[in-house]
Amino acid sequence: MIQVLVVEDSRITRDAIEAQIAKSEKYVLYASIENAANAEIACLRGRVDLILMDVCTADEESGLKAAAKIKQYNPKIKIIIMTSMPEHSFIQKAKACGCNGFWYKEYGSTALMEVCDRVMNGEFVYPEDTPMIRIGYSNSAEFTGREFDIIRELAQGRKYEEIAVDLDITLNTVKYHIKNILQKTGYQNTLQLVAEVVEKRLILPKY
Amino acid sequence: MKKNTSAKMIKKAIDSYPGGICFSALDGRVILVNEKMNKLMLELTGHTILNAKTAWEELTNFANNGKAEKLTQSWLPKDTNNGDEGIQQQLFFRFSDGLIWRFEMKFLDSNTVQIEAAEITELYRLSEELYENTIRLQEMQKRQKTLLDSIVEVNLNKEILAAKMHIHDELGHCLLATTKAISEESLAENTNTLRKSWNSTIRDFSNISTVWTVPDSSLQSELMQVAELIGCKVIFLGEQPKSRKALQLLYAAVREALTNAVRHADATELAVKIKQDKQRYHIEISDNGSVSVSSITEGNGLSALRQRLEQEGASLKVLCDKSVSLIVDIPFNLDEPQKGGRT
Repeated sequence: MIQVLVVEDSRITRDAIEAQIAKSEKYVLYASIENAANAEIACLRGRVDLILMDVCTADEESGLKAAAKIKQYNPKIKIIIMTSMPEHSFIQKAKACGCNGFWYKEYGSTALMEVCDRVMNGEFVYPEDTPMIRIGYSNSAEFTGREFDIIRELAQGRKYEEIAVDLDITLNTVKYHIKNILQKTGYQNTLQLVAEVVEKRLILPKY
Repeated sequence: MKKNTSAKMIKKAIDSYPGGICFSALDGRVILVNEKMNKLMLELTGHTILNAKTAWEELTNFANNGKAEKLTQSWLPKDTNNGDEGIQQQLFFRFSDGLIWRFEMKFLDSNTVQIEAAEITELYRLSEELYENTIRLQEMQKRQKTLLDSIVEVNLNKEILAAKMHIHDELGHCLLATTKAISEESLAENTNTLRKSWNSTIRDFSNISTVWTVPDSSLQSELMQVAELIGCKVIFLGEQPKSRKALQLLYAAVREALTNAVRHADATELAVKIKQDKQRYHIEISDNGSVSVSSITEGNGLSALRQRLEQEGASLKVLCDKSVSLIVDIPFNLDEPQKGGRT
């Protein structure tokens, strides 16, 4: 049997996942926890085969950061990242951590257990793209990587000068990107933009 | 074209200049002054410029006289372009006609001083607008940060709401189907279908916890349960911190110590001794691991823990005396973090 560790702070979602594992003949629940920071400890004696890891867990602990630590010492443990947030960088971060799969709770048509089966068969299962989110007149797929970097910095309350230093670009380049973003979205200022981006969870700087 | 320019022509030229201008010697003797400057000074001081040095002192100590008002706001549009061309002072006045004038004094060379007056009413209006907008944006930015901090909680509530709506729909469906079967007198025929629907809805109900949010105590209880799961008992001695922030730091340290003790020393027990004085908690975390060490190389985990603790004003020491112990000091007052950079 495949031992599964569930890391999920929403009681309802956790119950639903546990119920699916209980129904399965291949998987068995090893433990179910709310805080991603405890996941590495749960894996220490080498009894976990698969982790279903939420990104935003109890006490604001990041499932992605926990996954990176676990993979460093236990590369054989398969990890599937789960989230309901359309944050554009999560897929990229999950890949960078070496996670084996990624599953959107609210988007897409693939069932979680199907993703589990494919991952346990050695596949890397990722959605093709982040869910498309409407931001003003534009949609999230129309932003470039650099524009996302700038929006992320704005969402963290950085000033233009600080953004230039953080991203190692000139102040004029920062202004150029911001002008382009505002033109695309039709917003009057960056605060309207940031409010929309954060409200729709396209950017979550803490994770 | 005439080669020589007469004094009269120079005077005529500077009189046609729309701003005020005055050139003087270092002691204030006026070399050249235009009509506009004299007119402005007359309104401000009651006389034209007799001595530029005295006139500037009068402007510096100006008291509002009903004809003009001296402006001192921090956001006034100061001209800094000529900053290194000579020592510069700037004064601002609003005249009775509503126009704003900026007076600027600078040393042209070691013998000559220039006083220039420029009308900046539009620039003043825009600077005032910019200042008000900056204040408004700063307030909006604060609200934005608060929103960002609570976004995860908002999302959790959204998930809960979605689940509640699902149960509401299921319950409504069962009630409608049952009502229909009763009104159409087809209850007997549909008994099995209705029973299945009701059973499924009741199962959904039984899965809902009455506690929706993660309780504070979970910080400790979940860690203890996970430690037990992997065969390492965590024993706390002494009173634990009261504030949530201090508890979070304590448990971050316990997690790191537990991970290292099990991974590197195969420990089965971890002791956390907590003492406190008037200012701080003093915590010592040690294990019963089988490996004896005289020194360790600090890896990513310990470095990250040290960084997190120091950012919050706490500190970490690693003691190697056969076994490894972590010594953590957490001040009571964590609200004033000793951060080096931006948050």
